[in-house]
Amino acid sequence: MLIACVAPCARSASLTDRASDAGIGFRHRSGATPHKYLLETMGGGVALLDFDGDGWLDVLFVNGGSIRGAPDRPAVDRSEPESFNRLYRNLGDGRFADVTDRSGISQKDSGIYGMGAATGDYDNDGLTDLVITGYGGTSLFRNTGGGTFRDVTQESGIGVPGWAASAGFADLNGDGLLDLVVTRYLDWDFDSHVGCGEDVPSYCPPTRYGRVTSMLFANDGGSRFSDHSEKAGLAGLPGKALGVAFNDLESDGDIDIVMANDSEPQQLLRNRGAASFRDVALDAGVAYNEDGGRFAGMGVDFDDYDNDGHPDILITNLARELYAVYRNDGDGLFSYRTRQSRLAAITASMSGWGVRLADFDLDGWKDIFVAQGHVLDTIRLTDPSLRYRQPPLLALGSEGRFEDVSGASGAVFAESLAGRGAAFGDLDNDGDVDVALGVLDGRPRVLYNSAADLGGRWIALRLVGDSSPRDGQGARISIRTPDGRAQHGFSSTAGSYLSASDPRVHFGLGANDTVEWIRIRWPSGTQQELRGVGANRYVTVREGRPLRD
Amino acid sequence: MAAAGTGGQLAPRLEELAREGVAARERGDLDAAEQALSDLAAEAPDFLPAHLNLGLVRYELFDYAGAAAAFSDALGLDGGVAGLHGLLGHALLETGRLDAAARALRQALDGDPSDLKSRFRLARALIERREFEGASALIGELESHAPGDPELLRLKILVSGNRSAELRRRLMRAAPGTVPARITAAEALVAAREWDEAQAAYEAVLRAEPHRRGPRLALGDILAARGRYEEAAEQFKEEARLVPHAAQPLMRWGEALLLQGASTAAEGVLQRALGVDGDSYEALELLSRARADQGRYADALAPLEKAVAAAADDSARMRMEYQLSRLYRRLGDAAKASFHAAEHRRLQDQAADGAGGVP
Repeated sequence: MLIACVAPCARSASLTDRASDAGIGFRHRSGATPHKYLLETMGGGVALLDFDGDGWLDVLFVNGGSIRGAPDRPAVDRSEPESFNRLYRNLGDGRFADVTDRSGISQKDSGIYGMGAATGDYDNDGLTDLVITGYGGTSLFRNTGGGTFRDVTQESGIGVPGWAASAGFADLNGDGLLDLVVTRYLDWDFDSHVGCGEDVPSYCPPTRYGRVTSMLFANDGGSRFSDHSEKAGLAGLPGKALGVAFNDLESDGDIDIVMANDSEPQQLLRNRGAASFRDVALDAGVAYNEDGGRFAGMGVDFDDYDNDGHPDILITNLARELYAVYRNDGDGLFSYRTRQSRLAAITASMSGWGVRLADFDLDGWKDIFVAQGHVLDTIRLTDPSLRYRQPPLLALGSEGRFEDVSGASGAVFAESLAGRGAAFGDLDNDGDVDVALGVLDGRPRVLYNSAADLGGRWIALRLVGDSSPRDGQGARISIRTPDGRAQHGFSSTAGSYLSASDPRVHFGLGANDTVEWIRIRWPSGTQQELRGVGANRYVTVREGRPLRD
Repeated sequence: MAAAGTGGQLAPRLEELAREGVAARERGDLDAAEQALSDLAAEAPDFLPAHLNLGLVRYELFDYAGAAAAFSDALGLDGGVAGLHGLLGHALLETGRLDAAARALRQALDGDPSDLKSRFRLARALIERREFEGASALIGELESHAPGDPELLRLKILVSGNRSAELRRRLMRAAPGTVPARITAAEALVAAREWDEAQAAYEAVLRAEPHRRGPRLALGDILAARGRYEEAAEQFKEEARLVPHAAQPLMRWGEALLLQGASTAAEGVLQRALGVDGDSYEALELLSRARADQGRYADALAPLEKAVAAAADDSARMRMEYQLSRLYRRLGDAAKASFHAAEHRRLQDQAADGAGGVP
């Protein structure tokens, strides 16, 4: 039955922070020093992952560390518990338990300054594995079950020199195994650090440091990876990449990559098959803003905001630059739609990091959540019109336009925060998308969405691959509701900034209480269709097998 | 600006037109003066005072593009009049053609080094072009010629990108309570990016003098920079109503509409701006953007091609070359798209080199 959507069923989402009540005591440590090492202002990744397979998303917070030692020989110190990464197990009743000690992912004494996380079942054993990026090393943790991880970086063949930022898993060569992309930021180390700021020391702009290339590791099976960066074409594409997201750009079945670059052209890497990539950003129209200018690309999402079946690109950046929305026109070209989408007005004074296009209010249109805050803690001294700490943003979408509803969506949107990473997923399994927000040098916010409680209708898919990666990452899903509308989603834990999200794919249904059909195209090429599925349920779909709730 | 005489040998009917123009200007009927002097200039194109007076009247009408055209015509008849170069420079400066304005003002100063107005305006043009070194040198010269001039303090604040509260206080003490002092203070606040205070200062000016021309443009700019495009558009629209012969308010109104995504409305307003100043590369560029927003890529090409040819600086050219490359890509002309993309890249590299060796 089709019911007209009236005021109560649309355009309302309320996000409430329950981190403290839930027992999450983590506090991020940047290790800020008077020397203003650029590292200090860039961290704060978050991951939502069901590491114990109990059906509840757990939360990982990546920590930076202290920067200690003589001024001429500074070093990262992760010896203190306040510098550990923290893993919290979701107990399913609104509480979380700190399971860091047992998990083996604290990175105690590693000397690595932690940045972000990526999640995926790279060995197809049904357990979610973990990558933690950082300065001084990027680590692969294999989930060994029983709540423990083992650092298999050395034996896996993954080696990422320098400063890694975001990372993501995706099956880029169609062999059913998740490959790994790790972005690297820039050519910086403590020795090459320079001081910036005329009267007051401040963090240097990225233009002071050289470009580096990001890396692609092909999964060879048997828990071994090989550096495929050269063959993939990434080795010839230097940039200053902070964010990475995946989707199938042109519906050809190959997974493509978008990388957000800071002060360098953005990169759109089209997969020509077998994980061989060409940067088509310039031709496609996503390398620059509409003035042909570079901007400080930080967080990124690659998803279909206007429900036309073509994945679009959203990149967050610094105040005055306007978050960049590129609409995929379906002909290989993108249109810069920041003005027309109204994001120009919404984001003129904002600086954004973690970001996601997701239907937070369950009305059938994807919305935008952004973790915000300027990169410079001294910004007010040079530009009094800007603020270092800013509230996050919630902008509801409809018909390709967005409306800032932050002021009416919960107390967190009045809080001034140095937001950085943000991970997205359904923490309480009530059907709507919640948020874990990383705060630089602060306590994170764990934001529960009440859209489902307010009567919003939804459907969500939990995918289990067979010849595709077991966790279903890389699957494209389309649904059609009885009102004739179609929506499109993509299963990926990547995107945002330094963060990893729920692999399950959520759709808001507006006033519809059923879904006419759900079509899934798995990375293997297998296509599957489900018909007449009722609303408000998680549907587990096994590749090539009949539906089972 | 003072009215120039109408001397010279003219037919009686043209003498009558000249007298009519001057009389209308004296009684404040600037539209009638503009009409009479336009007719006179058309019928007696070699009569320099016609163009000169027409330029002055248009300047008073805030039709700076029209004034510049009239002063150019006058200079075409006698390029040796230093004062005419100064007038042309003033008018060009108001239209935002900073390169051409600076050239004309330098010529004025070459002819008459004692022309303080041109020196002040050249300093302003250089500041707007972000040529702070040259501007500072001029300000240094002005300090010996006009030490007490309030405009001098304003220029000093602007050239230093000043953020000093103490200087602002000095400024306010210099002429407390007067509207010009408030405007100068507001400009200093804008330079210091103290937008809350600057906005309040402009709003206070407009409360005191709601019909004053100028502050609405600055207030609109502040609102636009904060993403408050609808409010900015209202300010520009009101300014356009107050100053119907000026292209700038219309152009900024059009831009504010574009920033809201209202491309059809923007196109109409930008056409009006181009009706006032058909050579404004900024308005041409925005018109192209309005058409491209509506998917009319072929229609968007012509104004953009014209704009890039008239662009005042490499930064504008770089922006437009990129837009041209996008338009040609849309239109399926890969060769031209690549050509303009290469031009964009060249200008970008050139700018990076000039920025001082970014690694």
